[in-house]
Amino acid sequence: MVDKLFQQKRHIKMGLYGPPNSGKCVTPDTGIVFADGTIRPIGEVFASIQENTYLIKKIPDFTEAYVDVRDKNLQVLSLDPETLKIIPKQVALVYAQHYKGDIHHIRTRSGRVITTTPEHPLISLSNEGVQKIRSADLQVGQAVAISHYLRFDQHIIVPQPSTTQFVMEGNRIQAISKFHNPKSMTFPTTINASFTRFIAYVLAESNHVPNRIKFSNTDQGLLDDFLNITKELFSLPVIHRINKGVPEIEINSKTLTDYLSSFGFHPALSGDKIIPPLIMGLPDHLVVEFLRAMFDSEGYVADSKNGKRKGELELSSKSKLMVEQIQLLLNRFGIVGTFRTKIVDDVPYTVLAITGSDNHRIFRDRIGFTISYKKERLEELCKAGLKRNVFTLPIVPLLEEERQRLKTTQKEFFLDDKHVARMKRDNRITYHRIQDMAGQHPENKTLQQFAWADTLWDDIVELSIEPYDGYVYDLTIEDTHTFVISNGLVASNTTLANRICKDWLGEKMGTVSNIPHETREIQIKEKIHIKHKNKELTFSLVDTPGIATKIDYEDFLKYKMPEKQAKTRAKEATKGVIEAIKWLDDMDCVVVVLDSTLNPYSQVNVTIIGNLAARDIPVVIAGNKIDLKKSNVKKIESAFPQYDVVGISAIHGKNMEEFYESLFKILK
Amino acid sequence: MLKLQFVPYADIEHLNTDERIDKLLDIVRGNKIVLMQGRLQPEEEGQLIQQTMHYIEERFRGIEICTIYPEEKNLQLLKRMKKEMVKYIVGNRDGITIIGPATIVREIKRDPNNMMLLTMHTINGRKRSSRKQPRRQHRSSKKTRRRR
Repeated sequence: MVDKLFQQKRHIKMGLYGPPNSGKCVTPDTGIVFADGTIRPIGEVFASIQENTYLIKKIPDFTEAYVDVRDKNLQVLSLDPETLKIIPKQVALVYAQHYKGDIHHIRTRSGRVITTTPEHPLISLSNEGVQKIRSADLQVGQAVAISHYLRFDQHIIVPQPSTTQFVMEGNRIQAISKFHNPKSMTFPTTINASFTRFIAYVLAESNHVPNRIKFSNTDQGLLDDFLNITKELFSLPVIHRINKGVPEIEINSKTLTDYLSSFGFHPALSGDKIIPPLIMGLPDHLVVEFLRAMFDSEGYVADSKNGKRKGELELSSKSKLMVEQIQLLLNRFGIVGTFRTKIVDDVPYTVLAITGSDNHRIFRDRIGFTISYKKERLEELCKAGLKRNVFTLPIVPLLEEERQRLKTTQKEFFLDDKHVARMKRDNRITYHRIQDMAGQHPENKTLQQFAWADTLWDDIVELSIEPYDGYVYDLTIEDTHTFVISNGLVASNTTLANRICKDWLGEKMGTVSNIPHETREIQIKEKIHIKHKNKELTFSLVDTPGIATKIDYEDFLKYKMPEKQAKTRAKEATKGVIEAIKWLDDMDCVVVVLDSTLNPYSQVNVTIIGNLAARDIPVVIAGNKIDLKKSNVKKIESAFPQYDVVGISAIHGKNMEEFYESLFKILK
Repeated sequence: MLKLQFVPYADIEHLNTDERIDKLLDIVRGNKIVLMQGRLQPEEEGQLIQQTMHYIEERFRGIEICTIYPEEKNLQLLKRMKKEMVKYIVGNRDGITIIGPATIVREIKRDPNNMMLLTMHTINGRKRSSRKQPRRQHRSSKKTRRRR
């Protein structure tokens, strides 16, 4: 039969009903963390690829586009949801879509924010274990993954001044410039501690403009260090000055600023400063020097007992991205802070606050301060025994199940009698306790996985929705399907129903949406190749809005949509259903994808499926998400006994062979 | 209180597709559940849904539809031919179709020969669904109970 199918010449049109094809992407300003430590906004990543892509260049106002980047070296940091380890992974596809609709802002307790389309999933932890949950389904109080330990590809790249920019004279360089006669300077032939400290001083406390760097600080030690480094590395003269009572060191050198620009360290206003990629990928001992100089000049250590910010080790800057980069560097040592915004003279500053004596102790032991009063205050914080309860895991029932399976007492398993009742009541267990428990039970895989994971779990404290009209972007990372964004949150690029599409198109299409009628227009994918047992077939895939017999605007209100918008959407959805029915007659085969964890009756009307059969249109019902515990394919089978029901897991590609078999069977 | 209206096949036999659909939808939009003898043609069902979509507004939020009809697979050839002949002459009166307004009928389950209608209210008048219903109905039903 399969052979017969492949011999036929007619063009097959296949309708995909059920899973609406909706954008599940992030906004263009979302920073993607690359494996070498570079952070680039996703919109910029796509734009750079777009420039080199003939087709997209030709159609500037496209509605959606995929670019295969497997041949380019685009390695991002990705969380493996199985092992909970963050590893470098190659990006397979970069995706852009013009999106008009709601966009979700999600803020966590530690101040991390992500803006995504309702379909875009985050990695969440609950009693069910680690799951990917769509932004629209997330609720306040749910725990999502953020990075705890991060490692970049470590390398030392020594910047080599190019002869197009500089005149080289032995070990000295001089910038080529029409308007000046710049001073020549020496340049470092290796990246050492002094070099990283210099970059930190310029980032933290300097006015960095195209021909001048001005460093100002009240600490004599730091001023001396800056002066010595300038002489040692660049052999440049400096000007000492006191400006409004603050000592200042000025380096007037176009050659120096040009040299710094040559490796991506461009002059910038304080709000736009970023740490050059070269620093992000350095080995730990050099990163330590960088962070120490950063915290020496820009850090603040609060009192351990008094004040609003008691017990905090802080670093603040006008540049949000730079603060996020510092957090990523601190992730190397397992230090995780919280973000907040403070307003000084109407200007927002991003603050990274490191709390908890355990974090302070890691900071003291691995990084530390050179300024003595900061050193003393940090020592106080370390001794204060400050607890850090920001990050907890909501998996107490899961652990309790584990305990009962092992038939151990509470004291043996949780290493405590006193607090177990409270932990059970709140469903919260601290990360440190899990580590202690894992130490006592080295054979227990669940404990080991969570205790030594590269992630922490951060609670959602705020969700809001806003309308959006513009491009949204996504990456496809094969196998792990996740990527880390600049503030440490782990976003997922789940391909639920679209494993089907991915197999056929080599690209993804959409997820099963719980918001009804997310898709209200017909979308056609032409020329899809399907390979099965060494044979190929070409057909068109018509992705339609799901056919419903009822549309209730109140269903949209459940997703926190404003009433007016819900009514408009309901109206649009009715048009989508009418369109979808018109298309029915053109279809040669229909795939109805249902979520096997939900009630089949609430997802599709029995009569509609009967209607397809009465029109002699072959139907396959795919029960998706069989990898989940709640999945019940039998329920779908009993709801639709006359049809072929195949349980699949689109995300893991499970059972796809069987699914294709039944597809060929009905297409015979 | 559920209102059911029986529509015998004879009532719709002489009507064309548009008229049939209008008749059925008029009843449903009047918050009544239709019990129709026989079944609609697949094309008519499609058209019914399309027409329903046109009518959707705040008070009318669509329909739930379900059809039950006898299994004909195991019939002998002669009997089947006989049946087809009858169908041709007097129309397809086999089976029964239920159409209800979505504001009243929450879902219809069918396992081949059984039909289950889940409505918004239980028998004693208490709300089962979270959906808002006019409060007046509640109060009056409670009052009548007290009087009794």
